[in-house]
Amino acid sequence: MSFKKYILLLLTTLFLSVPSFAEKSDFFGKGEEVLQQAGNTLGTIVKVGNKVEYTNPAGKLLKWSEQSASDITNSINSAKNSTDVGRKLEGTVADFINSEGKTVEGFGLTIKKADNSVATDIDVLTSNEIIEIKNSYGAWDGKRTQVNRFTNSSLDDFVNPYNKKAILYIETPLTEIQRTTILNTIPNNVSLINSLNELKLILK
Amino acid sequence: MGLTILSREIVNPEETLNKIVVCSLKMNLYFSLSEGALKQDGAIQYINIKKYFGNGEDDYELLLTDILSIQHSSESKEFGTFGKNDVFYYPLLATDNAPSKLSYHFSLAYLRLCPNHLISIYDWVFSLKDIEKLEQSVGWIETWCQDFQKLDNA
Repeated sequence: MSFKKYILLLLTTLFLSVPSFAEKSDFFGKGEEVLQQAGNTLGTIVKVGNKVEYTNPAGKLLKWSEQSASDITNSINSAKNSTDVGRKLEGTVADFINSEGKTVEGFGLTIKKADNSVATDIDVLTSNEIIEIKNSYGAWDGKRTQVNRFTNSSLDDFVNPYNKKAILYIETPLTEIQRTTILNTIPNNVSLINSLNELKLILK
Repeated sequence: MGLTILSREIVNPEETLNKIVVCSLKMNLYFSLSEGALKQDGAIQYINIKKYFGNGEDDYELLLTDILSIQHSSESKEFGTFGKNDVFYYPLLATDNAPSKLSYHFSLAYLRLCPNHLISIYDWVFSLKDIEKLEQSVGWIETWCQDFQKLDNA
Protein backbone atom coordinates (compact mmCIF):
# COMPACT_ATOMS: atom_id res chain seq x y z
CA MET A 1 0.00 0.00 0.00
CA SER A 2 1.38 3.43 -0.95
CA PHE A 3 1.89 6.06 1.74
CA LYS A 4 -0.85 8.22 0.19
CA LYS A 5 -3.36 5.36 0.30
CA TYR A 6 -2.35 4.60 3.88
CA ILE A 7 -2.99 8.21 4.96
CA LEU A 8 -6.33 8.22 3.13
CA LEU A 9 -7.38 5.00 4.86
CA LEU A 10 -6.29 6.38 8.22
CA LEU A 11 -8.29 9.59 7.75
CA THR A 12 -11.37 7.67 6.61
CA THR A 13 -11.18 5.43 9.66
CA LEU A 14 -10.86 8.42 11.97
CA PHE A 15 -13.79 10.14 10.26
CA LEU A 16 -16.04 7.13 10.61
CA SER A 17 -15.10 6.58 14.21
CA VAL A 18 -16.52 9.93 15.33
CA PRO A 19 -20.24 9.23 15.53
CA SER A 20 -21.22 12.70 16.71
CA PHE A 21 -19.79 14.17 13.54
CA ALA A 22 -21.48 11.59 11.36
CA GLU A 23 -24.81 12.16 13.09
CA LYS A 24 -24.62 15.92 13.16
CA SER A 25 -23.54 16.22 9.57
CA ASP A 26 -26.12 13.61 8.45
CA PHE A 27 -23.49 12.80 5.87
CA PHE A 28 -24.49 9.16 5.66
CA GLY A 29 -28.18 9.64 5.10
CA LYS A 30 -30.84 10.14 7.67
CA GLY A 31 -29.26 10.47 11.08
CA GLU A 32 -30.43 9.11 14.37
CA GLU A 33 -33.30 11.05 15.80
CA VAL A 34 -33.87 10.86 19.52
CA LEU A 35 -37.25 11.94 20.74
CA GLN A 36 -36.97 13.09 24.32
CA GLN A 37 -38.81 11.55 27.19
CA ALA A 38 -40.23 14.97 27.96
CA GLY A 39 -43.61 16.12 26.77
CA ASN A 40 -46.19 13.49 25.95
CA THR A 41 -43.82 10.61 25.26
CA LEU A 42 -43.88 7.76 27.76
CA GLY A 43 -40.42 6.25 27.54
CA THR A 44 -37.83 7.00 24.91
CA ILE A 45 -38.04 6.62 21.16
CA VAL A 46 -35.06 6.45 18.85
CA LYS A 47 -35.62 6.49 15.11
CA VAL A 48 -33.08 5.48 12.53
CA GLY A 49 -34.56 5.72 9.06
CA ASN A 50 -37.89 3.92 9.26
CA LYS A 51 -36.78 1.76 12.19
CA VAL A 52 -38.19 2.75 15.55
CA GLU A 53 -36.73 1.59 18.84
CA TYR A 54 -38.90 2.28 21.83
CA THR A 55 -37.76 1.82 25.40
CA ASN A 56 -40.91 1.81 27.46
CA PRO A 57 -41.17 3.03 31.07
CA ALA A 58 -40.61 -0.56 32.25
CA GLY A 59 -37.22 -0.38 30.54
CA LYS A 60 -38.05 -2.92 27.84
CA LEU A 61 -36.96 -2.35 24.28
CA LEU A 62 -39.63 -2.78 21.62
CA LYS A 63 -39.00 -2.29 17.92
CA TRP A 64 -41.06 -1.73 14.82
CA SER A 65 -40.78 -0.35 11.31
CA GLU A 66 -42.69 2.77 10.39
CA GLN A 67 -45.17 2.13 7.62
CA SER A 68 -45.49 4.39 4.61
CA ALA A 69 -48.93 5.52 3.45
CA SER A 70 -48.76 3.13 0.51
CA ASP A 71 -47.71 0.22 2.77
CA ILE A 72 -50.74 0.91 4.93
CA THR A 73 -53.12 1.15 1.99
CA ASN A 74 -51.79 -2.10 0.52
CA SER A 75 -52.00 -3.89 3.86
CA ILE A 76 -55.57 -2.73 4.44
CA ASN A 77 -56.64 -3.86 0.96
CA SER A 78 -54.93 -7.18 1.40
CA ALA A 79 -56.54 -7.69 4.82
CA LYS A 80 -60.00 -6.87 3.49
CA ASN A 81 -59.65 -9.72 1.03
CA SER A 82 -58.17 -12.15 3.52
CA THR A 83 -59.86 -15.45 4.35
CA ASP A 84 -58.61 -14.98 7.92
CA VAL A 85 -61.61 -13.63 9.79
CA GLY A 86 -59.58 -11.57 12.24
CA ARG A 87 -57.44 -10.03 9.56
CA LYS A 88 -60.43 -9.28 7.35
CA LEU A 89 -62.19 -7.51 10.22
CA GLU A 90 -59.11 -5.43 10.94
CA GLY A 91 -59.08 -4.39 7.28
CA THR A 92 -62.77 -3.52 7.33
CA VAL A 93 -62.42 -1.35 10.43
CA ALA A 94 -59.32 0.42 9.10
CA ASP A 95 -61.07 1.05 5.79
CA PHE A 96 -64.05 2.48 7.65
CA ILE A 97 -61.80 4.84 9.59
CA ASN A 98 -60.26 6.04 6.33
CA SER A 99 -63.71 6.51 4.82
CA GLU A 100 -64.59 8.74 7.76
CA GLY A 101 -61.80 11.06 6.69
CA LYS A 102 -59.41 9.99 9.41
CA THR A 103 -55.98 8.78 8.39
CA VAL A 104 -54.86 5.35 9.50
CA GLU A 105 -51.25 5.86 10.55
CA GLY A 106 -50.47 2.26 11.44
CA PHE A 107 -52.08 -1.04 10.52
CA GLY A 108 -51.23 -4.51 11.74
CA LEU A 109 -48.01 -3.12 13.10
CA THR A 110 -45.74 -5.92 14.30
CA ILE A 111 -43.89 -5.07 17.50
CA LYS A 112 -40.68 -6.99 18.10
CA LYS A 113 -38.58 -7.46 21.17
CA ALA A 114 -34.85 -6.79 21.36
CA ASP A 115 -34.16 -10.38 20.24
CA ASN A 116 -36.39 -9.86 17.16
CA SER A 117 -39.09 -12.21 18.38
CA VAL A 118 -42.61 -10.88 17.96
CA ALA A 119 -44.02 -9.37 21.16
CA THR A 120 -47.37 -8.13 20.00
CA ASP A 121 -49.09 -6.18 17.27
CA ILE A 122 -51.12 -3.04 17.03
CA ASP A 123 -54.23 -3.45 14.93
CA VAL A 124 -54.93 0.18 14.02
CA LEU A 125 -53.28 3.46 14.89
CA THR A 126 -54.59 6.91 14.07
CA SER A 127 -53.25 10.29 15.13
CA ASN A 128 -55.22 10.08 18.36
CA GLU A 129 -56.31 6.49 18.83
CA ILE A 130 -54.80 3.06 19.31
CA ILE A 131 -57.33 0.34 18.54
CA GLU A 132 -57.51 -3.33 19.46
CA ILE A 133 -59.95 -5.19 17.24
CA LYS A 134 -61.73 -8.40 18.21
CA ASN A 135 -64.27 -10.40 16.34
CA SER A 136 -66.37 -11.44 19.29
CA TYR A 137 -66.69 -11.67 23.04
CA GLY A 138 -65.07 -15.09 22.90
CA ALA A 139 -62.01 -13.61 21.23
CA TRP A 140 -61.70 -11.11 24.07
CA ASP A 141 -62.46 -13.60 26.84
CA GLY A 142 -59.26 -15.59 26.51
CA LYS A 143 -56.98 -12.66 27.11
CA ARG A 144 -58.95 -10.13 29.03
CA THR A 145 -56.01 -7.97 30.01
CA GLN A 146 -54.59 -7.53 26.52
CA VAL A 147 -55.60 -3.87 26.21
CA ASN A 148 -53.67 -3.09 29.38
CA ARG A 149 -50.57 -2.85 27.23
CA PHE A 150 -52.01 0.44 25.96
CA THR A 151 -52.70 1.93 29.37
CA ASN A 152 -50.46 0.42 32.04
CA SER A 153 -47.01 1.86 31.52
CA SER A 154 -45.44 -0.42 34.12
CA LEU A 155 -46.00 -3.49 31.94
CA ASP A 156 -43.14 -5.03 29.97
CA ASP A 157 -45.21 -4.89 26.79
CA PHE A 158 -46.57 -1.37 27.24
CA VAL A 159 -46.67 0.04 23.75
CA ASN A 160 -48.48 3.36 23.71
CA PRO A 161 -45.66 5.90 23.83
CA TYR A 162 -47.80 8.86 22.87
CA ASN A 163 -50.56 7.96 25.29
CA LYS A 164 -53.18 7.73 22.57
CA LYS A 165 -56.77 7.00 23.42
CA ALA A 166 -57.18 3.24 23.75
CA ILE A 167 -60.18 1.60 22.10
CA LEU A 168 -61.34 -2.00 22.29
CA TYR A 169 -63.49 -2.70 19.25
CA ILE A 170 -65.62 -5.85 19.28
CA GLU A 171 -67.56 -6.57 16.11
CA THR A 172 -70.22 -9.09 17.15
CA PRO A 173 -73.05 -7.49 19.16
CA LEU A 174 -72.57 -8.03 22.88
CA THR A 175 -75.21 -9.08 25.36
CA GLU A 176 -75.67 -6.84 28.39
CA ILE A 177 -73.93 -9.40 30.59
CA GLN A 178 -70.98 -9.60 28.23
CA ARG A 179 -70.74 -5.83 28.02
CA THR A 180 -70.80 -5.53 31.80
CA THR A 181 -68.14 -8.23 32.19
CA ILE A 182 -65.86 -6.44 29.77
CA LEU A 183 -66.40 -3.02 31.32
CA ASN A 184 -65.71 -4.45 34.76
CA THR A 185 -62.44 -5.92 33.49
CA ILE A 186 -60.82 -3.40 31.17
CA PRO A 187 -59.22 -0.21 32.50
CA ASN A 188 -61.54 2.77 32.81
CA ASN A 189 -59.61 4.71 30.21
CA VAL A 190 -60.23 2.12 27.49
CA SER A 191 -63.37 2.71 25.43
CA LEU A 192 -65.43 -0.32 24.51
CA ILE A 193 -66.93 0.02 21.05
CA ASN A 194 -69.35 -2.50 19.59
CA SER A 195 -70.18 -1.26 16.09
CA LEU A 196 -68.82 0.90 13.32
CA ASN A 197 -71.49 3.50 14.13
CA GLU A 198 -70.23 3.73 17.69
CA LEU A 199 -66.69 3.97 16.39
CA LYS A 200 -67.66 6.84 14.11
CA LEU A 201 -68.94 8.78 17.10
CA ILE A 202 -65.81 8.33 19.17
CA LEU A 203 -63.16 9.10 16.56
CA LYS A 204 -61.72 12.53 17.20
CA MET B 1 -58.01 -14.70 20.16
CA GLY B 2 -57.52 -16.27 16.81
CA LEU B 3 -56.71 -19.75 18.00
CA THR B 4 -57.47 -21.01 21.48
CA ILE B 5 -57.15 -24.40 23.12
CA LEU B 6 -60.06 -25.40 25.32
CA SER B 7 -59.77 -27.92 28.11
CA ARG B 8 -62.09 -29.18 30.81
CA GLU B 9 -59.21 -29.39 33.26
CA ILE B 10 -56.50 -27.04 34.39
CA VAL B 11 -53.35 -27.97 32.51
CA ASN B 12 -49.88 -27.42 33.90
CA PRO B 13 -48.23 -24.76 31.67
CA GLU B 14 -45.05 -26.81 31.35
CA GLU B 15 -47.09 -29.72 30.09
CA THR B 16 -48.69 -27.50 27.45
CA LEU B 17 -45.25 -26.17 26.53
CA ASN B 18 -43.96 -29.70 26.02
CA LYS B 19 -46.91 -30.48 23.79
CA ILE B 20 -46.52 -27.46 21.56
CA VAL B 21 -42.79 -28.02 21.22
CA VAL B 22 -43.54 -31.52 19.97
CA CYS B 23 -46.23 -30.15 17.62
CA SER B 24 -43.80 -27.61 16.21
CA LEU B 25 -41.17 -30.27 15.75
CA LYS B 26 -43.51 -32.64 13.97
CA MET B 27 -44.95 -29.93 11.76
CA ASN B 28 -41.53 -28.48 10.92
CA LEU B 29 -42.32 -25.10 12.43
CA TYR B 30 -40.03 -22.43 13.83
CA PHE B 31 -40.38 -22.25 17.60
CA SER B 32 -38.85 -19.71 19.94
CA LEU B 33 -39.04 -18.43 23.49
CA SER B 34 -37.67 -15.12 24.72
CA GLU B 35 -36.00 -14.09 27.93
CA GLY B 36 -38.62 -13.24 30.50
CA ALA B 37 -41.14 -15.60 28.96
CA LEU B 38 -41.88 -17.33 32.24
CA LYS B 39 -44.15 -15.25 34.44
CA GLN B 40 -44.52 -15.46 38.21
CA ASP B 41 -47.85 -17.26 38.00
CA GLY B 42 -46.37 -19.94 35.74
CA ALA B 43 -47.73 -18.50 32.51
CA ILE B 44 -45.38 -18.53 29.53
CA GLN B 45 -45.69 -15.59 27.19
CA TYR B 46 -44.58 -14.45 23.76
CA ILE B 47 -43.98 -17.87 22.24
CA ASN B 48 -43.36 -17.47 18.53
CA ILE B 49 -44.50 -20.31 16.29
CA LYS B 50 -43.85 -19.52 12.65
CA LYS B 51 -43.96 -21.08 9.26
CA TYR B 52 -41.63 -19.36 6.82
CA PHE B 53 -42.67 -19.22 3.20
CA GLY B 54 -39.96 -17.05 1.70
CA ASN B 55 -36.50 -15.71 2.32
CA GLY B 56 -37.49 -12.28 3.60
CA GLU B 57 -37.24 -11.35 7.26
CA ASP B 58 -41.00 -11.04 7.49
CA ASP B 59 -42.06 -13.82 5.14
CA TYR B 60 -43.83 -16.01 7.64
CA GLU B 61 -47.14 -16.95 9.13
CA LEU B 62 -47.21 -16.48 12.88
CA LEU B 63 -49.01 -17.80 15.88
CA LEU B 64 -47.94 -15.61 18.77
CA THR B 65 -48.94 -17.73 21.69
CA ASP B 66 -49.30 -17.42 25.44
CA ILE B 67 -49.62 -20.43 27.69
CA LEU B 68 -51.80 -19.54 30.63
CA SER B 69 -51.68 -20.92 34.13
CA ILE B 70 -55.33 -20.81 35.13
CA GLN B 71 -57.78 -18.93 32.99
CA HIS B 72 -61.29 -20.20 32.66
CA SER B 73 -64.07 -19.02 30.45
CA SER B 74 -66.19 -16.25 31.89
CA GLU B 75 -69.43 -17.59 30.47
CA SER B 76 -71.18 -20.88 29.84
CA LYS B 77 -71.23 -22.11 26.30
CA GLU B 78 -71.82 -25.42 24.66
CA PHE B 79 -68.75 -26.42 22.73
CA GLY B 80 -68.77 -29.72 20.91
CA THR B 81 -68.39 -32.39 23.55
CA PHE B 82 -68.29 -29.77 26.31
CA GLY B 83 -71.66 -29.40 27.97
CA LYS B 84 -73.24 -26.04 28.55
CA ASN B 85 -72.50 -26.11 32.25
CA ASP B 86 -68.92 -27.30 31.93
CA VAL B 87 -66.28 -24.85 33.07
CA PHE B 88 -63.52 -24.82 30.54
CA TYR B 89 -60.01 -23.48 30.66
CA TYR B 90 -57.76 -21.86 28.14
CA PRO B 91 -54.37 -23.57 28.35
CA LEU B 92 -53.14 -21.65 25.30
CA LEU B 93 -54.10 -18.57 23.34
CA ALA B 94 -52.66 -17.47 20.04
CA THR B 95 -52.84 -13.98 18.55
CA ASP B 96 -55.78 -12.22 17.01
CA ASN B 97 -55.08 -13.71 13.63
CA ALA B 98 -55.17 -17.36 12.72
CA PRO B 99 -53.29 -18.02 9.49
CA SER B 100 -55.22 -20.77 7.79
CA LYS B 101 -52.52 -23.30 6.96
CA LEU B 102 -50.46 -22.88 10.09
CA SER B 103 -53.58 -23.10 12.26
CA TYR B 104 -54.74 -26.25 10.51
CA HIS B 105 -51.48 -28.14 10.87
CA PHE B 106 -50.89 -26.94 14.40
CA SER B 107 -54.43 -27.95 15.41
CA LEU B 108 -54.13 -31.38 13.87
CA ALA B 109 -50.81 -32.06 15.55
CA TYR B 110 -51.94 -30.72 18.92
CA LEU B 111 -55.26 -32.55 19.02
CA ARG B 112 -53.53 -35.80 18.13
CA LEU B 113 -51.46 -35.31 21.28
CA CYS B 114 -54.38 -34.08 23.38
CA PRO B 115 -57.53 -35.68 21.98
CA ASN B 116 -59.67 -34.54 24.90
CA HIS B 117 -59.06 -30.90 24.21
CA LEU B 118 -60.78 -28.72 21.64
CA ILE B 119 -59.45 -25.96 19.46
CA SER B 120 -61.39 -22.79 18.88
CA ILE B 121 -60.53 -20.65 15.89
CA TYR B 122 -62.47 -17.45 16.24
CA ASP B 123 -65.89 -18.87 17.12
CA TRP B 124 -65.54 -22.20 15.33
CA VAL B 125 -64.67 -25.12 17.53
CA PHE B 126 -62.93 -28.31 16.37
CA SER B 127 -62.28 -31.64 17.96
CA LEU B 128 -59.71 -34.18 16.85
CA LYS B 129 -62.51 -36.11 15.20
CA ASP B 130 -63.46 -33.04 13.14
CA ILE B 131 -59.99 -32.31 11.89
CA GLU B 132 -59.17 -35.96 11.24
CA LYS B 133 -62.31 -36.14 9.15
CA LEU B 134 -61.15 -33.17 7.15
CA GLU B 135 -57.67 -34.61 6.86
CA GLN B 136 -59.07 -37.85 5.50
CA SER B 137 -61.20 -36.04 2.91
CA VAL B 138 -59.85 -32.83 1.37
CA GLY B 139 -57.11 -32.00 3.87
CA TRP B 140 -56.20 -28.36 4.31
CA ILE B 141 -58.03 -25.78 2.26
CA GLU B 142 -57.76 -22.03 2.70
CA THR B 143 -61.26 -21.64 4.11
CA TRP B 144 -61.33 -24.83 6.19
CA CYS B 145 -62.64 -23.11 9.33
CA GLN B 146 -65.52 -21.34 7.63
CA ASP B 147 -66.41 -24.19 5.31
CA PHE B 148 -65.96 -27.10 7.68
CA GLN B 149 -69.67 -27.53 8.22
CA LYS B 150 -70.34 -27.58 4.48
CA LEU B 151 -67.55 -30.05 3.88
CA ASP B 152 -68.77 -32.13 6.78
CA ASN B 153 -72.26 -32.31 5.30
CA ALA B 154 -71.08 -33.01 1.77
